[in-house]
Amino acid sequence: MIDRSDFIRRRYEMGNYFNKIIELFVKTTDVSTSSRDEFHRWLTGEKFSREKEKALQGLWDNIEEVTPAATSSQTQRSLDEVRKKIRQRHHKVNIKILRVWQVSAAVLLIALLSALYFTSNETPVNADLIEQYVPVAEMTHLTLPDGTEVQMNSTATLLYPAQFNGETRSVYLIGEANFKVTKNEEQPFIVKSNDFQVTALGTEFSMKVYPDETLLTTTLFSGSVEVRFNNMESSLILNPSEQFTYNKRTKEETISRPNLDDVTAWQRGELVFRSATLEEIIPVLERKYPYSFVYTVSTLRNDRYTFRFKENTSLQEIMDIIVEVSGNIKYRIEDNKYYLSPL
Amino acid sequence: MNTESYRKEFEEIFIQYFPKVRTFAAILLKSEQEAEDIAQDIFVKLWEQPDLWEGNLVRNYLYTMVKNHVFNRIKRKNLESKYIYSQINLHSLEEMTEFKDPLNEIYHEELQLLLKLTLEQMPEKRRQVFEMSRFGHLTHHEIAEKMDLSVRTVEQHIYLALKDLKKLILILIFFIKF
Repeated sequence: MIDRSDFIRRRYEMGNYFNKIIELFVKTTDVSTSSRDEFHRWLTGEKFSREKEKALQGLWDNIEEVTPAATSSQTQRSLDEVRKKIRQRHHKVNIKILRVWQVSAAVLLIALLSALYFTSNETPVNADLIEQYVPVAEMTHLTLPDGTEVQMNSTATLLYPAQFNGETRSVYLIGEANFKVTKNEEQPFIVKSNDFQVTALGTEFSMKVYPDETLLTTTLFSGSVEVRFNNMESSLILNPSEQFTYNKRTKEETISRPNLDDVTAWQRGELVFRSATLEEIIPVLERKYPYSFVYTVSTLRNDRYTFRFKENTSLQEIMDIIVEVSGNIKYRIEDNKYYLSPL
Repeated sequence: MNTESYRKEFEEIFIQYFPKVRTFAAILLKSEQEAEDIAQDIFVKLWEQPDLWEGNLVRNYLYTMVKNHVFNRIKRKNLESKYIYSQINLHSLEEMTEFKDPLNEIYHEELQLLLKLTLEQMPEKRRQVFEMSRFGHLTHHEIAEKMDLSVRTVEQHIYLALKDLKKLILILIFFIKF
């Protein structure tokens, strides 16, 4: 057993409540379950999240990195296991196991890369970037430094600078969010994503760019926005009530006039599906509820369903209805997972 | 990059950062197994992202990844277990430590957690005696009988427990205010 506290240098002890709590927790080797749970709840709680983040980064910085000479046999064993997993990954085709964290991992990766890339054009790379991440099954509302109001859906990530200094107000989004942009014609507000970006002056629009979905959308509620896509080579202007959809696989774009009530349903906690396949519905459920789904692709037919679920509907109620309506699948729940199989 | 140098570069990064990632997760989750799982998953993913294998970038990336993995695990677990609210209230905390500060209201949760963790650091007997006295509201005599100790030993335990707590509070006051 390695004594973890050895990794933490003394300097780290000088701090405030937040550092002190983390330090005490690190020091307590056989912590009771109740204290551990309480610590975990505190750590992931919304209150003082910025201070906690700072303390966590301090903890991270103070864990030593290893020189190749000091490699332990434990690390070597882990490396062997990771190598094995890498090889297996390239063979797995049949069973699709979706795990929410994998998605969020991919999300963050893209976010990080792109954020660094985008910001490097305008401001120094180490300008203070703030990352707002919404965990599974939660929603967050935040106000940006310019007063712009953002409502974020589950598992979304938004990166934004502590101050908008440049010629534009650029933020980076993965996932779904609604923006009520504070008017400032001198400094356009730009939401970037991996496949397209939206420029607004003072307006309200929403954007949905989840990495695990093929169709990306942005919907304008008022004002006007410019959408740039296809590696920034194409652009078009949206009118109010119009929705821009971009298929990242075929690179095709379409403009439609959706039911705006459907587009904003998530902000009221509702779930709306319009002629959607189960394959499209499941990722949405996995974001909204802390469960994942396990199924073989052949279990899901290509039937299309239209559902509207009210706020606070439990996942079990939803699944009961889906099973009832589809008539060809059943489910069982085990360890936070829904196993789907043919009836 | 050819396959051989690709693999070699990955392994260098692995050796340098894997223990750091695993340690960070283990510290926070207090579970070696979960930490190992998380760290392995992160590096399996990293294999496919050679664009990130650069000093500062990889360090920041790994931090964000491991933090989010840990948070996701915690959130999932918390949903499983029912919330048991801590019985320690602010009033008793102030009384115990004679530490009154307008900031106490703001840092209520933090103070509670600090107290709880400090109690965990104490020797088992001392903690039990202290909890019986302050949360169970037993008299020194009752505790002595229950624990099969002399009243003097009980008093000694409580004195030492309070000393530990005051030390903690002093450190806090010092670093927050000066």
